[in-house]
Order: sequence, then structure tokens, then C-alpha cells
Amino acid sequence: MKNYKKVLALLLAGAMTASLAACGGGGGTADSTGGGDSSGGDSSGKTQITVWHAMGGVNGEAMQEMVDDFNASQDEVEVSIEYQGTYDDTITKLKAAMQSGELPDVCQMYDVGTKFMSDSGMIIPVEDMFETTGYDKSTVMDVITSYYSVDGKQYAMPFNVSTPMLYYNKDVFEAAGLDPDSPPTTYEEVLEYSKQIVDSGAASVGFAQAIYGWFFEQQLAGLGMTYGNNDNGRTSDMTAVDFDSNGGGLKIMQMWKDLYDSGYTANYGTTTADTQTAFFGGDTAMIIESTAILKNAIESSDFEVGTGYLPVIEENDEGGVIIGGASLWLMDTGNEEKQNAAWKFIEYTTTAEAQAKWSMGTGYFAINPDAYELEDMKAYLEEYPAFETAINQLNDTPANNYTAGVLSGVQTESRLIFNEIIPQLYDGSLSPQDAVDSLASQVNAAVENYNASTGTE
Amino acid sequence: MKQKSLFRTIEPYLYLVPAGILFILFVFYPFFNTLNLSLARTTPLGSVSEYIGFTNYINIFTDESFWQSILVSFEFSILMVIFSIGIGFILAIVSNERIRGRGIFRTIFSLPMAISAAAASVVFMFIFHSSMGILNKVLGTNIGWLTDKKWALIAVTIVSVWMNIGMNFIYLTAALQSVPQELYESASIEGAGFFQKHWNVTIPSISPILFFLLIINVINSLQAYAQFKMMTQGGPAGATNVIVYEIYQEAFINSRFGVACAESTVLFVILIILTALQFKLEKKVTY
Repeated sequence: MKNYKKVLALLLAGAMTASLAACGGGGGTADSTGGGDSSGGDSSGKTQITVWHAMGGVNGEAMQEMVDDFNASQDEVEVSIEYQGTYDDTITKLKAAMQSGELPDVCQMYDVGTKFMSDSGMIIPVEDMFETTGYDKSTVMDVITSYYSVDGKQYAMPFNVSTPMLYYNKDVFEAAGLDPDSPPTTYEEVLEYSKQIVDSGAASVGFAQAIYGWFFEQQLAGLGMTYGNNDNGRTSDMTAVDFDSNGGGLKIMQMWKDLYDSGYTANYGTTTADTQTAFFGGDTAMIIESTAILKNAIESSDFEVGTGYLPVIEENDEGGVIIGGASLWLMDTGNEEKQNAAWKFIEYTTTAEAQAKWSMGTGYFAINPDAYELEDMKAYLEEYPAFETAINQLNDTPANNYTAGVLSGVQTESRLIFNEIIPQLYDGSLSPQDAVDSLASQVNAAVENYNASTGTE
Repeated sequence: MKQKSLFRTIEPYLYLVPAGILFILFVFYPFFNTLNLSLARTTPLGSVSEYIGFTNYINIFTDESFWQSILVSFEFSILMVIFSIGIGFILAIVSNERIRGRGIFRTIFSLPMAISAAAASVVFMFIFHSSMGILNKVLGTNIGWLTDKKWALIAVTIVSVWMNIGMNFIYLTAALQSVPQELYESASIEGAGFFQKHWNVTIPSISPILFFLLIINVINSLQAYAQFKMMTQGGPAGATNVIVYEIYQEAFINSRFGVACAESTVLFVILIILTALQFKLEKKVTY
């Protein structure tokens, strides 16, 4: 039995050190499938490039289709795409890839990752490719490219543009005696409608939205207010948040608390898929979700899906929705042949045909206005009028620093902090004012730390 | 002659070189790098931006949410150890009786081990869904299993126990089969009942395995990650933010590698202390 003891001790020592090693060694364990080989070509003479993306489900299929179309359209470049999980997973994996130097050639990155990407020093601003390739900058709508521009220079190519909107169950509206063609536009109406829906027994829950920091940013934009100082970090680096001093944060928290306390709404947590499930299953009559799930919503539910503008707390001329979504970044892999090939792919994604097909396959807004002139697209919009809400909502949004959204290096973290605050708001352990203060002080601390670590004062 | 004896002296160390290299590369180097980074402020890409002494440690020790993480980890660990060993033990004893279809039961009981934590989490997320989930439908309740602070940790623990029972069950079944039948026979002759037999014979006889499982389960549960990442992301309001998930968040989401490394070091010290305590306890184990 002596031996047994020794083996045991060894096993334990191993297990313990492994637990510690997990932190320091973490960087190297991530996928390192990106452009590792430098030759850049295969036997058929095509340049192979790798694209990382975060499009799952129906949208992932549409992505694959776009890549297949591109590969078939020419014989110089062969693109292969690799799904990396959610947006948050993608930025996490890309950070690891940056540490190990095994970069993909192109990476899709969500809106709030913009600051991190442009600060990383491992990307090539797409504008650098415009001149040599003769790309016409006006192909993509100005309001959209402005999001990805720093000091007037375009850093990334917008790819999938989405905004949040209201989804509602037309069948339930009818059963509850509501007009199925006029969704609520303010949160007062949302509450009123929810009451009628639940009291009439048409559905067990009137309204729900996931706990997701994106919605907080969107509501601020709707109020025509900034999230952070220095014009949302757009005139110079953001150094502190604004939503606590401009009163916007409190208005939003109070509104959410009132909705939750009414008992006619539900909270399905931070996983957006759980809120979607509740809506698709007919249990919840209204939800707020990204325009990106529209195609999925229509396919997954057996009732008629209606869409409306994102409800507002109060009307404001300056307000609107944040022109968000994700963009494609050209990574600085040091291999010029691959970079040129990668640019060809990026350029292809902006064509009217590619954007039209993409928009019809997903629900994303087509960034190239010519896409809406195509016959296919016109016919499609006639068949699915729900898609038009997203287009109109974006066209009705003024382009300013409120609707451009916050440019911050710590927005991923800010949203995590948000996720911890909201359950406490709902269960009453934080008052709306405390929730705003707590969120503001934690985000400020993160911003301070980020600026200190990147040397920004 | 002399050369040969020199070789003899070095020889054993040469055999250790391959393992040594692996250890240095994958255990010691990361370990010391962790200690190093824990004293620094890091850039978003994880390299040292400046050394700030023990600031990271001071920050985490004065941070309430860090203590909450440790508390949650221990709560989870204690529940896990008690229930996954307890239930595994009961199942092992039951399926050790001479009953029909014993093999089928054994297969079923150990099956959860073959399911990945991520897959199990996804299935249980459907079960726990507050309005569409089968659990609330069956119980006739309206509990937010994963969204209510009171229930979230319990819900994740249920899944984790279910996933962990299989391993404990297999170890305990093997241990039960090695208990000499004579002991049971003589216990029967002396008039011991079912419970007395197991209390006085089975448990002392398999105590080395129970001890082994205790340690493995404590370490496994303190390192649990996948189910938290999948099901709750540490929420709601930190109710399931176990220490390993906290470390993951700090390092890979918030990009504060220095803080994450300081937390890892604290976790390491905690595990050392725990294991030392357990070895003290081990003196009571009968062989």
C-alpha cells in the first residue's frame, strides 16, 4: 500500500500544477488553424485564405453560400471559412491567435471590437487597399462606413449590419383583440399591450428581452444620449462614461424595473437563445432581438411573425438605432499575396448581388444600396414585408455620434458588468439609481485600466 | 573504468530528460510565467505593460466579488462531493446485489460519463428553460432555474452531479467487488443486517478508494468550467461565478491577464492547503 500512496501523491501534485498552468499557458492552446503556411498556394495555383466568422445556424449557411459563390466566380483565390462561435468567443480566440502569431487572413469582428482591433496593430486598414485596387469607396453607404472610420480613414469593411427591433406574434395579437398590424412604439404601450395579452389568456408572457448590454447602448442612442464622454469616444479616447451624468441610464433602468415588476413580462437571463426559444414557442408574445434573427424567426415559428421599430422611452429627433453588426478586418499576416487575395474576397462581399443574397438569407441590412434595386430583392421584400422594418428603421436613423455608438476598448467587459447588475435590479437588491452608479463606477475602472495598459492618457 | 562509472551516475538522469522537458515546457514554465504576470499590468494582448508589485493581489483581496467567487466555488464543491459520491455509492451497492439485468443497470449508471459537459449543458438548458422547459411543466412551477439567484447554482450542481456520478460509480463498483466475501459471511453469521453490513464492512474496506474519490472530486469540482460557461456565464449577478470561470473572464474576456494570474495563484495555494488537510485525514483511512 506504500506504493499506492506514492502514486496518489504524484497524481495530486500533477492535478494541482495543471490547474495553475492552465492560466499561464492558455494563450497557446487556442485554435491555430489560420494562415500558418507561407507558401500561399496549392497545386491548382489558387491562393488559399482563411476567414474566421461568428455566424451560426441559418446565417452560417448563408455565409457558406456566399463563400461558395465567390470561389466559383473566379479561379485565383480559394476561401475557406471557420466558425468561431459567438462574437465574444471570436474576439477571445483572436486575442489568443494574436499572441501566438497564427492569424487568419480575414476576421469578422463585432461593432464593439472595433477599438480593440484598430489598437491591436495587427490589421491593415482596408482603406490602404482602395487606391491600388481601384475600389470605389461609395459602394457602401456612408452612414455605415463612418462607424468603422477613425480620423476619416476606413479601417474595416462593414459586412453584416443589424439593429435591434421588436418581434411580435401576430396570431397572439389577434387573439388578444389587438391590431396585428400596429405594434407598440413606446414602452408604455409595450406594458399596456402585455397586460391585455396576458389578461386575455392569449399568451402567458407579454414581453421579454434578454439581459444584453447591447440593448442598453441602443436605448441610450434612442434617447439621443451618449454612453461615454468625448462624443462616445469618437473625438478622442473615451475616459469615462456619460450615462450616469446625462440621466439616460436612470431612465432606462427605471423603465426596465417597471416592466419587470408589472408581472406581465419575463426574464430569461443572459442567453439570447433562451428568449428566442420562448418567442418561437409561442409562449411570449413580444421580444426585442437583432434584425439578424429574422430569417430564423420566420422559419422556427408556426405563427405569423410581425416586426416593429425598437420601442422608445420617449420620442427624440436626434435618437435612433445604433448602426452596428460586424465588419470584416484584413489581418496583417505579412504575406502580401494572401492579403491581396483576402482583399478580393472582402471586395466581393460588398457587391450588390452578394449583399442582396446575404440580406435575403439572413435579415441583415444590405450595405450596398444597389442591392435594393435588384429584381430578386424587390420580389423578396414584397413576399416578406417583415424585412422592410429593418430597412426603414435604419433609413430613419440620423447619422450622428449618438447613433454611431460608443467606441471603447472595454465594451465586451462593460457588457459583462451589465449582466451582473441587471439581475440585482430585478430582484430589488439594487435600486435603479444604485444600478446606474454601480455600472458607471465599474465601467470607469475598466476604462481607466485599459487606457493605462495601452498608454493612453 | 572511470568513464563508465561517470556514465552510470548520469544515466538515470538521462532517462528523466524527456519527461523533464515536457514538465518544464508545460508545467513549470507556465507556472513561473503565471507568478510573473501576476505582478504586472498587462496589455490587451497579454504582454507586460508595467510591473505594479502586489497591486493585483491587493485588488482581488479587497474585491467582494472575488470572495463571492471563492464562496460559490466551495459551495459547489461541497454539494458536488456529497451528492456525486453519495449517489454513486448507493447505485454501486444496489447494482452489486444479485439482481436480474445488473449489466444493463451498470451501463446506464455509468453512461453520463461518456457525454461531454457542453452537450449535457445544452440539453439541460432546454430542461431548465423557465417557460418552455419540461422541469417546470412536470413540477407545475414557474421557477427561473438558471435566472434566479436562489436556484442557479443548484441547477448547475444537479447537472454536474449527474455528469460526475458515472466515474464515481465505476470506481466504487470496482472497489465493492474487491471486498472479500468472507467478511460479509461472518457479518451475517453475527446477525448484521443490510445497513450494518455496509456500514461496518463495506465502508472501511473501500475507504482508500473513497479517499481517492474525495480528492479527485474536490479538485474536479473546483476546476469545473464548461457547464458554467454554457449554462449561466457566471450569472445571474455572480451567483454561479466559480473561481475558474472568474479567472477565465478576467484573462480572456476582460484581457486582464495580471489579475487572472493573481487569482490563479490564490487558487493554487488554496488547493495546496486543501490537499494537505486531506492527507492529514488520510491517516484515518484503513488499509
